[in-house]
Amino acid sequence: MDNPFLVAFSISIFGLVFLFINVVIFFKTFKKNSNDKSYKNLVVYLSVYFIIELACNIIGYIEPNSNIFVSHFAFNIQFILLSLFFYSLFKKQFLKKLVIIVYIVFLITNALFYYNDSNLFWEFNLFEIVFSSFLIIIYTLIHIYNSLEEVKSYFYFTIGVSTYMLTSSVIFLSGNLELVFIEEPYIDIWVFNSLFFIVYQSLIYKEWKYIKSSNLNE
Amino acid sequence: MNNYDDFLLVITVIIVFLILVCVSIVIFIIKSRNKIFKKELEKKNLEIEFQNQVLQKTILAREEEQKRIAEDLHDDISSKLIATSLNLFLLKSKETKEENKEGIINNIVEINKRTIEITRKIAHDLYPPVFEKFGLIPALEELFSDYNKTNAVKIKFNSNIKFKNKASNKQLQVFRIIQELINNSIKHGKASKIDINFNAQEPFNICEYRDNGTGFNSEELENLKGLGCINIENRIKSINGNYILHSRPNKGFKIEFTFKLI
Repeated sequence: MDNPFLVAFSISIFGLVFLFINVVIFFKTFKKNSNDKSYKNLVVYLSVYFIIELACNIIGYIEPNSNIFVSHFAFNIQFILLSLFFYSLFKKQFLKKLVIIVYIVFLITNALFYYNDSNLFWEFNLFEIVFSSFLIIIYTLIHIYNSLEEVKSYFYFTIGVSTYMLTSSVIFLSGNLELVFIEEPYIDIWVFNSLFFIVYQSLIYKEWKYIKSSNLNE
Repeated sequence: MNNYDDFLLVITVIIVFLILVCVSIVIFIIKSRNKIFKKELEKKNLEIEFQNQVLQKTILAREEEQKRIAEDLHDDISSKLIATSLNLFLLKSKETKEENKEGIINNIVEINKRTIEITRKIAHDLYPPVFEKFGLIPALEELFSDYNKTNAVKIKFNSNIKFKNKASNKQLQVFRIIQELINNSIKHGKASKIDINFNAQEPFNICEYRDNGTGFNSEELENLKGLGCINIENRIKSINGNYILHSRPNKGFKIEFTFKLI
């Protein structure tokens, strides 16, 4: 019984370590890219996300299944930081305004949800998951559309974000159901989230390599 | 029952979420396709515009050429023929004294000789007969020796390429390029020395051409848009060649172009 848990836990830890490595290497090339606002926002996002993931893992380790409330911080903070990232990435003024307006609307609606039902804090908030993920996917599509036939900027990262958002949100949405795929050995749905997280981190690593090589070319 | 309701809610939310994502991806794909299509169209339009410009320049170049031939005919041959007929008129006139007639005949013979020479030269410029009979290298050598005779310019020529004797259209293009380059060197560059080398370097042949003329700044695009340059560029393209040119004010002019001959 212990072993499969350990496997799931070590996959999750591996993703966390990968994220940590990404944070470190992104900090290493920070000086060279200090003129790039999006780069700064990305580094802030990665660092903060690492802290949240770390907290989530520690709480989950000490008291299994009591770390659901961390997801609220994860989704909200992720949404505001990625909104900032795309805000700096978009060049058109109306897109920048759109990002701000959408964020304010999201924040108010989300607050109303918690105001209505304070128990929501102890389970997964469907609205929060669906809309923050969906909006980020929309931002990534807009960014990819804007950079068609132009020099790629944060291409791997945007691809990574959109696929991770899509897969993880479906997993988080079904989180309230406590789905278990296989009883013996015990494998629950969260393993897939960890796996997708590793894919996401590898794309971030690829993004860093791409940024590094374009720095060298300059 | 509560669990079942929860389950339905979650499944509905997931399905709605996935539909939303799918719809946005479909919109994204359609929009992207349109954008790419638009950009392609813009590119094609630019290409067409460029081709139009080339066509315009080609027509202009032909007009220039025709004007030059007309001028040659008018200035050189017509004037000589008029001189001949004037002399003939004098010869025919009863008022002309017998002792002057000898001089007039000599005059006519002299003018005729020069007219033949000029006709030969014009024909030569238009299509060198040596080229037709013996191919590129002899034609070029003849061209250079004609220029060298004038003492205004010294042309040195080396070649290690074996051309087939039979004249081909591609060889004619090479001949024309060299002709045009020499014209430009003398007319615009006021060059007094020209070096031309043909090197066979598999898989291409390379022609290296340099003069000691006044030169120009080859990094300024405007300088490369003249009639002569466009003509040379088109001819090099027509023999599937590439070229690099380099020039600086008062530092002469250099061009290297590749060509393949069959």
